[in-house]
Parts: sequence; structure tokens; C-alpha cells
Amino acid sequence: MSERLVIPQEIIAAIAEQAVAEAPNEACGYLRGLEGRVHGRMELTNVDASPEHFTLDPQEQFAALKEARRYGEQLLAVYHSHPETPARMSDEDIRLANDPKTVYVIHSLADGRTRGFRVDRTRSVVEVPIEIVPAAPETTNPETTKEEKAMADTPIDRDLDLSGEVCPYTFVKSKLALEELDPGQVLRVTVDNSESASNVPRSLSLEGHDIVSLEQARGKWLITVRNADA
Amino acid sequence: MAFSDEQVQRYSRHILLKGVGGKGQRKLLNARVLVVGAGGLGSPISLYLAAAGVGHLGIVDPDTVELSNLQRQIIHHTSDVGKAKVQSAARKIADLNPDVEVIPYEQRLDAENILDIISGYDFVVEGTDNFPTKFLVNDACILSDKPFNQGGILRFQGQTMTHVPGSASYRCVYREPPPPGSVPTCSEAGVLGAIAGMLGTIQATETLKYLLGIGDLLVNRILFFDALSMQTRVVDVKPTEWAEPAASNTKIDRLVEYEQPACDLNLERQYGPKGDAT
Repeated sequence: MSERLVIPQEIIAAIAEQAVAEAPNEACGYLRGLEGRVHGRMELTNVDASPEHFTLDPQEQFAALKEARRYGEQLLAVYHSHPETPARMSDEDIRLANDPKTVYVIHSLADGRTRGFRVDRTRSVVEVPIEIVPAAPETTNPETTKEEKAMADTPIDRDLDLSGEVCPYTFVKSKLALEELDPGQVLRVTVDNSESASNVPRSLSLEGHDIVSLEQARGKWLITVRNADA
Repeated sequence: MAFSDEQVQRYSRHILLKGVGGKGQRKLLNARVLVVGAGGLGSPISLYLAAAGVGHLGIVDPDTVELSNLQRQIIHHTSDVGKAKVQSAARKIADLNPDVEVIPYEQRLDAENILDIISGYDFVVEGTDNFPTKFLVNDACILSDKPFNQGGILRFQGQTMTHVPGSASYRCVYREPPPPGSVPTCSEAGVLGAIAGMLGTIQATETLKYLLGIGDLLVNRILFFDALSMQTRVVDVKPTEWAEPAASNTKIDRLVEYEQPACDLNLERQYGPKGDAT
């Protein structure tokens, strides 16, 4: 079965617009949808602010994932622009393409094309053809889930400030603090570097704990996590 | 008990592990393990257990360090030749991890002292070079409902199994020690030094798994490896009735001190005290 990615014309146009606005740097973001059909676009910040490569902001990544889930959808693709080069995977793009489950979409301002690629674990690249369709399919408006209502006023049982700490000690200390809490209790961890902001929620989530929220404020990240130990 | 900053750093790679964490590390720090033999197997066993932060390590060995030990008994160094092995081991462990308390037993285990010595420990790891001690440790642990791991190496091969109360033991595989002279010892047949590391680290791993309560132990199974072909086999072992402690005279109900095989005694006269093999 040959894979393809269906993207509405207006989303392609919006990506192009963002690419022009952020040139000469690369612009980036996520495409959400279901079963190979893109329904929406989420603009992300290129924290590298570079014309040659991009890195997604971890807090925005988390927010994008939550937004896709709110629509009952998945993150189908990561897109970025090539301000001066054609729409193909650069060596740097291939090196940084760590997720074999996502499609990497590139929009080039040089040749005006938008192409999709998949990169497997052996770093071999396969093109995923993009089909551009006239209009976006209807999507239902996201509703505030019960989960979100619950998290809005989550009481914090313990506050742990790990400013000045780096990986892996931010996770090690968060894990130790969570072990001290009862199941269902909530820990809020403050970290001050983006690596920890990305690693700590991911690792805690892999341990089975519930990440309630990840917020960024004045160079710090607040990770709120509920102890889900049985 | 809260971890000190040094402990958080020292044990961070354990705490990171799912299934270990701070809770598991605390179990290790509170654990009591008896290592029988501070030789080829006892070296990696006690070094890894000490590095892992097993809080209380008993080490039994009656021998002193000889130059011929150093090819495989990596806890002992050239400057230790002539010193008691338990003292040499205790010093290395103190230097490696000050969290570990070492309880040295500079004596040979026998039917008189073994039950008393093992009673203070959660787990026993055996890595000696002689069948009488292997059978003595096996029987004493079974009589005391004490979980233990046994290991042996020769030439290029190793074998190990773990026992918990009710499971198969060494006697289910080998009912009696082999007739004197039928199986060569390491001091006759030789042993590749690194084999001691291969098997000893498996034994240390089994001990840590038991203490942490994770994974599947080598219970009712025996692991063999041959380093020349680099093949490993794990064979199922059924617990046999005569290998379990009970009143019946076909079962283990008392401790037996087997005679040292005659060939070993000859070797002892020829090459010095025995106990220099594993």
C-alpha cells in the first residue's frame, strides 16, 4: 500500500505564508489529522532561529500534542521550510529525523514545492507523496475535556524547584520526590533548561505517571505531574 | 531515609531505572548479602554488589592472596600478596563505596559454623572452588530456607543457578559430590581469568534481581556457558524430593562435610594451600 499525505490547499498556503514571514530562518510546525488526512496546522517556534536547521520548542510540542488529542487526532507530520534550498531532505534533516512514525514535510521557498518524507531507523529516506485538496474537511470544535477542567484547579501536594539542575538529575530528583507522594497526589517541578523541560515529562510519562501540564514562564518550565502508581 | 546529594549522584543510574528507583535503591542499601569465597567469582560479585550499594556484605574466605590468584581474582592486587583475602577485599570495597559495611569471616565454613553465619543474611552467593563447600552451602541454605545462588567455573566454562525455598537446588542436578579425582579442579585444569568475570557478574545480577524483586531468577533452571563457542544454554531443572529438607532420610536433614578429594590434597602438598582456584 503506497502511503500518501492529503493536505488542504489552504494549509499549504498558510505554511508558505509562515515560511515567508520567518525567512531567512527556517519556519516549522506540526500538522494534525487522522489516517493520512491533515485537518489542521500548528505553528511552532524554531528555537534555533537558523536558516539551516530547526528545533521545536518542547513546551510548544507538548501543547501541540494536547491540541491534537483534543480534536481526537494525531500529529501526522512535522513541517519546516527551506528558505533557499529545494524541497528535499538535507543531510542535517536526515540526521535529526529521529521519529520513524512521523512524516517530514518540507516547503521550499526556492522551488515553491511542498514534499513529504519518511526516515526509518537506518536513516533511509522514502518520499511520501502529498496530495493537495481544495478545502479542509470539517472538524468539530475542540471541547474542554473533563481532564482539562480537572487540571485547571489541580492542588499541588509538593513543589520542587530544580533550577540550576541538569539532566539526568532533574528527572532523578523528580522521580524520588514522586515516590514520596501517595498515588493520585500531584508534584510540581520547576526546571530552567529546555532539555529538562523536554526529558522530565517524557521520562515521567514513560514511568506511567500523568503529566497534568507543562507551562513556560520567564525562562523556567513548570511541570505538573500526578503520581499514577497503583 | 533521604538520599544525600552524593547518593543521588552515585546511584542515579539505578534510580533512573524503571523497577528500581529510589525505593529499589533503599532496598539494596538495607540488604544483607553473604558472599562465600573472595576469589575469582567472589571478586566481581562483591565489587558489583558494593558498587550497587548493597549495604551489608559478609565475605567468607580462609585464604591469603597468592600471586597465582591475580590472573582472575581482580579484587586483589599485587601488593596484597600474603594478606588475608577478606581483608584485601574489605579495603577495596571501603575505597569503592563508603556506604557498604563489610563483615569479614576469615575462616572456612563448616557444619559447626555455617548455620549461624548465614542466619544474619537475606541472600547467600557461593563462588568457591570446591565441592564440599558447595554442598555444605547448598544444604545449609535449604535447611535455613535461605535463598542463594551458586556458581562454578572451569577452563572456559561456567554454570550457575539460583535457589529460593522450594525450588530445585544444586543437589537436584548433582546428587553427591563427584568421586575424588574424577573432576579436575581449576588448579589442575586451569581457567581463563575473564570467565570468572562473566559468571561472577551473572551471579551479582541474580543477587540484585532477588533483592529488588524484579525479573525472572534462574530458579528451577541452570545456566551453562562455553566461552570458546560463546554459546549459552539454560536448562530446566525439576525439584526432586530427596533434595528438599524434611524428616525422611532420603532428604536433606543434616549437614555433611565431605572429604576433600584426594587429588586436591596431593596438589596442596605439591603447589601450596588449596583454595587458590576460584
